[in-house]
Amino acid sequence: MFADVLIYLLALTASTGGGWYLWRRVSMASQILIVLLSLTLLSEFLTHISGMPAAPRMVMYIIYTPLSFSMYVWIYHLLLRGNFNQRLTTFFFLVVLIAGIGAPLFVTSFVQFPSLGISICSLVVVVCSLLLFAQMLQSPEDVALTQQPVFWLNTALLIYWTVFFFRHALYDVMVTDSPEQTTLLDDIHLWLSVFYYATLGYSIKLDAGRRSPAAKHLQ
Amino acid sequence: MQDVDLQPQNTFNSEIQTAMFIGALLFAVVAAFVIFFIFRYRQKQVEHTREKEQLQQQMESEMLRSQIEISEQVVQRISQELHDNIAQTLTIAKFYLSNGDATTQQTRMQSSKELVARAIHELRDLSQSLNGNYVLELGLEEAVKRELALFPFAEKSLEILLPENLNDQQQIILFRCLQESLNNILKHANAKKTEVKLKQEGEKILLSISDDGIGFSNHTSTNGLGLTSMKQRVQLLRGTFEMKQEAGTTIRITLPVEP
Repeated sequence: MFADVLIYLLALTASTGGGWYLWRRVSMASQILIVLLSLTLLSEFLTHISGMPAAPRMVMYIIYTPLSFSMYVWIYHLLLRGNFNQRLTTFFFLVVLIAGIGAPLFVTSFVQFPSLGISICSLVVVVCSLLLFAQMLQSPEDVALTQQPVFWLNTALLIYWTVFFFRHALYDVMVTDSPEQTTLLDDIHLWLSVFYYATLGYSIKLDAGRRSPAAKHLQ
Repeated sequence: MQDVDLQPQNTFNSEIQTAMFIGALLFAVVAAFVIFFIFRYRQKQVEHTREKEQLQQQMESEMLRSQIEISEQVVQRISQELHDNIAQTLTIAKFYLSNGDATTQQTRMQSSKELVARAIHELRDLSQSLNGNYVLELGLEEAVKRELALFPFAEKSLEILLPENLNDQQQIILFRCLQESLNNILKHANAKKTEVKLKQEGEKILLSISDDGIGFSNHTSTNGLGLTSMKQRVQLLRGTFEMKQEAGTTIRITLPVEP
């Protein structure tokens, strides 16, 4: 089990480290993503490696949730164009803050995993990713789709948070009534996370490549 | 008793299986969406490329048509200049040489010499003014000053501050627009005062020619060949052309300056 977690942490570390190495050559959206990956790495390190007790770990997740999702919404605010999309992402920014802070404050508690907040916020990310897919179809670029960093970023976010939303809903039921059956869900989550962070790292690499002086010369 | 104990567990297991099935279905739907998106995006790319090519072809046809029209107008102008000025001068010189008696011959010879010299001078001027290299060799600033000096307006003002990175085509087109505008003012406007500005404004170069004349009346069209030619030349270089008529006429031409 620990070996599996290590693989996942390695993927996350590689994407984060690569992102900082390419910091100056990437767009602002990618820079926000790199900061987000760094926060994720820190929280995962504290969770899995440092042996933090359960209660402060939950508080850390409660702080991390609105922070990370507001950064996701910020990324989409930079990528989505048009007055309607800009206003919508501003609204979503408030939604994730309210969900992330309000849910533990008024519905659950500060020593419980913030499932409700994460579920609402993951829906927001899914909606934003669908809007971005629609925008990409309206204004196709001349570059091949697989060479566009936005495609990989958006695909990773859509798949991860859709599956995560469902997995979380199921987990909450299983962990109470049948905890031995959660192993499969943990494995799915682990490999999905490896795919997720590796894809995010790839999108950062592509973004740096497009904005390099050589690429600009070719354009 | 055992059967009763097993029933809630069996029900729960089937619920878990249903939930897992729904989860797998959800993942399949998401994956299918991504695959559909890839295919649809490729279709859109092909359509977009096709539209771009069509627009490019249209633009090239328009540019070619504009260039042909401009060439025609230049030829017409040469023809008009030769007919109106040079041919008249040489006709008078021929008349002087063909007529008269011995007593007036020397005077007529002198007059004819002067007329021929004038015709040669006018031909040289015409040739220079139509030759784009003249502008490039002299420099746009000097060429503009000399051109403005040729026109007999009562009051003339010139403000000129050129950037260093104007390319040859831009210099020639700005000069031609200036020539055309000044010719129009001389022929139609009955203006006393003319103001020319040629300077950089931000990321554009501005050419502004103003006069205090009578403007375009009912007898003269704002869509004359000269103005049309100017507009076409400016549009070829992705510039803008504006004309205002308030207490005279002002023509404003802007061209983008390359960084």
